[in-house]
Amino acid sequence: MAQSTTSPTAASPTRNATFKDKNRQEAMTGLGFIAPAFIILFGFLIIPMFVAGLFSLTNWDGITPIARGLITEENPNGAFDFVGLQNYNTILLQEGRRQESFYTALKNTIYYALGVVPVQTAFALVLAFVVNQKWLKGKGFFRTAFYFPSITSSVVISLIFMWMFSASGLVNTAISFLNPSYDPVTWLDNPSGTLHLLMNGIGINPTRDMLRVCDPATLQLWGCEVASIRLWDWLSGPSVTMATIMILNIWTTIGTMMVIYLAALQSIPSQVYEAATVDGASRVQLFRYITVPLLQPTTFFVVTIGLIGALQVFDQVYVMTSGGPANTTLTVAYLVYRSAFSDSRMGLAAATAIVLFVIIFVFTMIQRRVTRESSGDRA
Amino acid sequence: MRRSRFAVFSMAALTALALSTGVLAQDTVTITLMGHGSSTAEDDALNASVLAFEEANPGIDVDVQLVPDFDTVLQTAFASGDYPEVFYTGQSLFRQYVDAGVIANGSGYIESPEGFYPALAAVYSIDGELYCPPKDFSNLALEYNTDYFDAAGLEYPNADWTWDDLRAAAEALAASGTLPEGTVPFGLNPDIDRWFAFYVQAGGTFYDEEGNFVFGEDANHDAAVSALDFTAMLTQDGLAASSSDLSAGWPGEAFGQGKAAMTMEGNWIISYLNDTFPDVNWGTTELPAGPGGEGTLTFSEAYCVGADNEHPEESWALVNFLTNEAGAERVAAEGFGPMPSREASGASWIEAVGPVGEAFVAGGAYAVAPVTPAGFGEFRDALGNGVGAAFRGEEDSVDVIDEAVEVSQELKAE
Repeated sequence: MAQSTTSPTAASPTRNATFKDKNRQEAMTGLGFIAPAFIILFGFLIIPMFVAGLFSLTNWDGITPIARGLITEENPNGAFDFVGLQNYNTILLQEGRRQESFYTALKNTIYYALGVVPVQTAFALVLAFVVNQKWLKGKGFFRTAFYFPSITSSVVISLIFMWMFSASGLVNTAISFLNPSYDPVTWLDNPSGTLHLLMNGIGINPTRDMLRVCDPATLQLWGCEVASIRLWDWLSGPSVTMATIMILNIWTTIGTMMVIYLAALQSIPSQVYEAATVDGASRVQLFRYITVPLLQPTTFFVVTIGLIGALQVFDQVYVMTSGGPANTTLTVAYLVYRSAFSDSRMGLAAATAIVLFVIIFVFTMIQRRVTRESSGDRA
Repeated sequence: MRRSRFAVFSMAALTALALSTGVLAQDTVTITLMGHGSSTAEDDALNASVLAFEEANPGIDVDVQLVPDFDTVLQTAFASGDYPEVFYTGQSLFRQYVDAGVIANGSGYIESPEGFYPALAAVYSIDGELYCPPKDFSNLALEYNTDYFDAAGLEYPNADWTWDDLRAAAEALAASGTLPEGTVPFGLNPDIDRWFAFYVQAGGTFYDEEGNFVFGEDANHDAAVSALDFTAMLTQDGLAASSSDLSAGWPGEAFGQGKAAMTMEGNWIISYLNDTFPDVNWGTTELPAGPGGEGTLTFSEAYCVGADNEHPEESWALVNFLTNEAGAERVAAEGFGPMPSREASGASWIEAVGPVGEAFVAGGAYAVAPVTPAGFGEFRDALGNGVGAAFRGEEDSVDVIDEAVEVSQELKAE
């Protein structure tokens, strides 16, 4: 009945309307599907980040109930006061203890990342290449064995390492067995920097008095302070204890990186290798000129997640050293925790966390640029 | 039909449940007691005490929550504003919590406050008003391995010892050649919560009369330097070594393993040695006196009542039940690691743990709490690192103390 009364000209708006309805329905369905992810992302990521940003502008101690609100004349018992960019100034620019702590943490974290990321990437690639070989027997065993550390709790692994690296632990016992004249190293309580030890080895060994002097005119620079840290201390390298934690982390993350590389290796078509073999490429050349370039996107991914993980290192430090000895394993992520919970300066901790975020962001961008340029050269 | 009947039934059940809990809630008050777990025996004893309290006070229900990583959990609970009615508070966090306004003033509520050790009550008092009754405490004392002293033909350490006697005995032990290979005379960590004992023995103080933190300043400077010189020399001369050098987790473990002939730890070492190293023969005495006289450190915790609290009366009733004379006697009779916080119960505690407990109780008379002001984490790190460097011979004592004082002044100015 309704159809018969509708004129042909009126039909098209009706059809349009149903089309719109359908469109809208589709949009609603789409929104419905992304809603859970969006709500979780919003509630657990975007709001906390915003709140952290807000806290970084306050002097909140992290203890006073936040509901007591802003400190004002009517509300002297409030929880916090806005201090502007004071917290950022304290850690980044203002000379003093807190600046020293921040830059010490930053220095340690950078040495850590510089040591861990290239080594774990290189090892993961080589391991993946090896366990991908057709001639290898017991591939399943090796793949599982290499991946095993990655699926074990980092706390458990840290404890095992603490036993292995204790003064009379497995590592020292093994070295002593091979070399009876070895003087046991206290791996987990040794603040001497590895670069310092190297420099001492080649005769650069500033005395305590030299470290007190900063006189650019006579080129006595070791005692010059940059950001509250002496030049000599900037060049310390990771301490022996930090190096131990680095070894631990390399060992645990190699498995994950290896699996990623393995997946990528298996997607390289065998024709490419065959063609290269026909052209007379050797095994080394195959690896160098076929495998590595074709893995470029994977390498970018592996280095990126490796770098982000390295800049955020926390749990091993928390379990093994609490930042000691002599703050040489203090990392930025651990400093955030320390300022928030043992120093009761939530504002400062939030500011440090935001700075860490910016640093990770910048490093990732730089690394992306570098990777893209190097692949561009090859193309 | 079936579905709707089910719905009616469940609605009725829910209403009944809601009503009944409503009625119950009018009768009983639930208060939460939050703390950290201790030994199983200690946790059981606390639960038994709480049960006894609930039986004596039928209107009060106590929810005991012993949580791991307690300080962080409590701090986040404070921040949210929804925190337990009663909670443990360590001596180093007390001031900070008072400043944050989350601790209720206990003066007028606490039963017979005069019975607590004065040094302990002072830690939890502000302007002479006791905020939180101390729960229990531990002191440092000197532990010695009697077999090693017998083998070397030396007299056991005693309460009249001075630094010189300690050093002389350490030298004699080392020279006697009777110590097993790899064993040092003294197990000592570069940890400021041990090293401060030497500072106190050298005559150093932490606070002046106005309550300002005065570590290493003015007259305290010499005390700090001489304490650091003495301890650093012990280490550098090979008479003392840290637990990590001895590949032990802490000096008590090194002592138990026979890698140190002496060490200085608190009363927690008693049950540890009895349980883990029952074959070691050992004794205790008070720490040696330094140039400034006797001195030891005390470590304690208190029960505090929350400031934002809907049930203060019930909370104080619980806290008093746990810390009054009868409560202290219960702690004493069980003979746990920590000692009861009331002087009157010291004797019962010694009876429970044996004569090794005497030195710890004796220290209660002159013990000092090594409490740094709120937010002095950086100071503790700086001094701790400096003490470590001085022990290793990398820095001079004077430089370490000057640097620590500089940090302290910087933090005070903040």
